[in-house]
Amino acid sequence: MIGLALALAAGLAWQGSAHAQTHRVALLIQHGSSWPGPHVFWKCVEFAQEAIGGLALLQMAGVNTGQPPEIYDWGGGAYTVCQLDRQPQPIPDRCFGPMSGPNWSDWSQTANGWVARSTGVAGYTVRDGDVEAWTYSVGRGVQPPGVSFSQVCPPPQAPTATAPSRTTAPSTGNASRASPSADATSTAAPSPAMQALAPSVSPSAGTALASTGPTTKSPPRALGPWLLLVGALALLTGLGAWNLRRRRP
Amino acid sequence: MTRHPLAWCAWATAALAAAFIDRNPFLQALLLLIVINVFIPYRAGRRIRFWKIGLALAMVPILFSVALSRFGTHVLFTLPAIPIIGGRWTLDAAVFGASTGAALLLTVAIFAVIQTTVRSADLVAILPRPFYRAGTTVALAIAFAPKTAASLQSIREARQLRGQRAGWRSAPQLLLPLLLTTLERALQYGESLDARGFGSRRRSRYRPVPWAMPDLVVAAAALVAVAAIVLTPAQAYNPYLGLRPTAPAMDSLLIVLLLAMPAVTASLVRMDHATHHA
Repeated sequence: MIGLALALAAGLAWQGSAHAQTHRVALLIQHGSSWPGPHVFWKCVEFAQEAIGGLALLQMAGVNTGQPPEIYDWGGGAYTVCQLDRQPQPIPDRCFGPMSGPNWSDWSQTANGWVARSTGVAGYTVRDGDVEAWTYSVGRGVQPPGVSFSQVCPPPQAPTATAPSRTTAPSTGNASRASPSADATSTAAPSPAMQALAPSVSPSAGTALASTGPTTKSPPRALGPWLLLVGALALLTGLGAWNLRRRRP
Repeated sequence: MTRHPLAWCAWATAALAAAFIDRNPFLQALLLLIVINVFIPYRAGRRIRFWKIGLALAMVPILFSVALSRFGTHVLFTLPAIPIIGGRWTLDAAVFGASTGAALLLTVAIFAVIQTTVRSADLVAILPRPFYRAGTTVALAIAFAPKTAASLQSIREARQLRGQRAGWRSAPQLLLPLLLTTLERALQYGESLDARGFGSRRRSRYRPVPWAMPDLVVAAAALVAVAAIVLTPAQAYNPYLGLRPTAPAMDSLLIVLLLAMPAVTASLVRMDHATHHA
């Protein structure tokens, strides 16, 4: 009887996990220039849902030495991330310190390159195949280095290695419950949702990225609008002067 | 010359939309030059105080922004810790205030153009029938205030001619003649309305303004401009993020240039008249 129930449960779990597909997002983190240690590192984050929020992504990646990232709650569901991967240390006054100081900026990769997020960490979701980046800099933020999704998340080569572990995952996969806080207590046994993360704080990341080089090619400055503007201003000034003279006989 | 009030209303709508939505400084400068150019051929010879009002209004946001905002990275100077105004005064805040002030100045300028070019009687004449009486009453009431101010001025001048004092102490003695003149004018208004059959169902039209070619051209250009302004992305400018404004977009420039149409038609038509009379 018990054996039958176990077999049934195992079968159900296997069935569920067969439907639950893993989704992957590439996460890139670039520290400030004064950071000791590797400046750039990336992680391939796996999750079961169709899409997860930006904050959940950071929590699942466990980038703050397993702790959730330090955030500032503005109220109304708006958050600002003020500490990632132990930078800045200690956490400044009011969480993010002065507005003119360095802070974390959020970028998403599109077909046209990196685009800065303007919605706050709670205002967007990421899906399978997205590349998300955080850079620590002053002002509007510096663009992250160019990196492709397949660089961070290589295509899975040994599906048999991940398949058994996935059967233990809950089929409905509430991945935020399997958050780094649970993971921090037992670093030896990673939680199911963070399976096959292959966290690679690669010391060669900086050099590898330096060799590809961030594309700093600025777009060619268009002359058309300036010519039109100057021409229109000159024409209007002439017209106005002419009308002024005509009026005064 | 553009005369039809509806054409002017369309132009004002487009110009106000551009003034409110586009914050690029180059576009604002171009729009201000265009509005001045539209104003010049239509001005009615009298001195206009609008520019003083507009400039004064434009200064207010600059003062408020630079004195109260503590954001920005280009620090002009730092005041000691006085409540409210103490702290860093930044160039960014001043530029932000100037950007808002320019929008206010543009608004005042556009309304100045409308007030010079559109007669309130023409506007009342094109009102639909249910609003005709209410519109007439409102137009009369609006016209009443400047008339009262003018009669106050004339009473004061008459007193000065008689060698009487014209300071604020003479205000009580001004009040009675002012009241009498105002009552007299109100009675005149009532009689003239009565003579024109205001109370009856009929509605009289005195010299209706026809749609001429310049009116059509101006109205069409204004409608195209309104649609384009709504459909194209706005030219934003935030001095706190970047003090140097970006180059204006080509389509935005063309849209704003459409608003110069009244100035162009006025110049062309006047040239025609000149050749006819010559």
